[in-house]
Amino acid sequence: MPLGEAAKKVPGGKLVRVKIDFEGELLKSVQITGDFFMHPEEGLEILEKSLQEIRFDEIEKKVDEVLNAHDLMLVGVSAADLSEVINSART
Amino acid sequence: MKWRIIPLETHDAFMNMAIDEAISETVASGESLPTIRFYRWKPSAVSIGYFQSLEGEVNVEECKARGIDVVRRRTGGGAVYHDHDNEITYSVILPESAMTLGITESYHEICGWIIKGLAQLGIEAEFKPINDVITGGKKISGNAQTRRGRVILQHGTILYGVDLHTMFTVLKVSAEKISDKMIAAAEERVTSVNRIKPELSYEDVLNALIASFIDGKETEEGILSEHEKKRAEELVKERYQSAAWNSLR
Repeated sequence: MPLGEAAKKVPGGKLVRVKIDFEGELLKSVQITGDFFMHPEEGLEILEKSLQEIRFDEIEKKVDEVLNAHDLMLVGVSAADLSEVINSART
Repeated sequence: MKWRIIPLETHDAFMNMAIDEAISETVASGESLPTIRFYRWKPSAVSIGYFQSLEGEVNVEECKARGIDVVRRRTGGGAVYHDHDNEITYSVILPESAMTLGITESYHEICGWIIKGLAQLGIEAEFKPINDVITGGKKISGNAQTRRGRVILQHGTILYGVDLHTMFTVLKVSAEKISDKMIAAAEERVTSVNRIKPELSYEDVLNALIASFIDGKETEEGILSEHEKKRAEELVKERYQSAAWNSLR
């Protein structure tokens, strides 16, 4: 499976880095690191697992869905930022 | 509301983080009063944010060689070099019901206590969202918050002095080598109390911060309970000293 990495420093926000495995249009797995905040913190593992086997063009929607479903709050980085950096890790 | 104030204590990195967690538990259960503690780190240490990559952020070999401890925090945020001689660290631990503010607003509130303390020392500082205090456009204090069990834990650092060379040796700042240019760039972003007011001692700064943190509050000076000490010792072994925790990401 191809591997990819990317990072983004959100203006006025925090840094987020991702490492991904992917196959074509499908994200197989992602590891998210950085100096952002998420409350509660355990939510990030839930988010990473929920993004497995998700199409790249559906990532932002999925992130929003998981944040809402688990009452998670991301601080310093948005769902759109996460989607952007994951998508940019593909190239 | 009455607060417990624990005056400056010195511990290693693992115990400092374990004490914060142990107090969070006893504040959650109602066994302890909301607590403000001040502390420093011996030996000097690096703490990384909960979501950071240990290998990505820290020059672990260099830390080992210099006797600098490395610990993962429960809070998000960035990597911090905690120099024993140059930094004052605090924690504020209270039930969410006693501070019904959102994340940014509660950072603003607690950072306001830091700003007031610095003002008493003649240093004009301001809150910079998300979680910094700046003076003259440069960072002088970094802060991080977690909320678990309906308890707010905010801890943060106030730079008394700053040793940028060691900071950049132990922290990985991009792939670039430590260059004079990079240090010069950092000089533009970070400052410390003794750069602005060289005449102030560490104790002067600590006393001003204690005064501003307790101002307007009903407080009693306290120590850790036996239960908290025992629990903190457990957490050091179970969590903060463990490779599984520190290498989590």
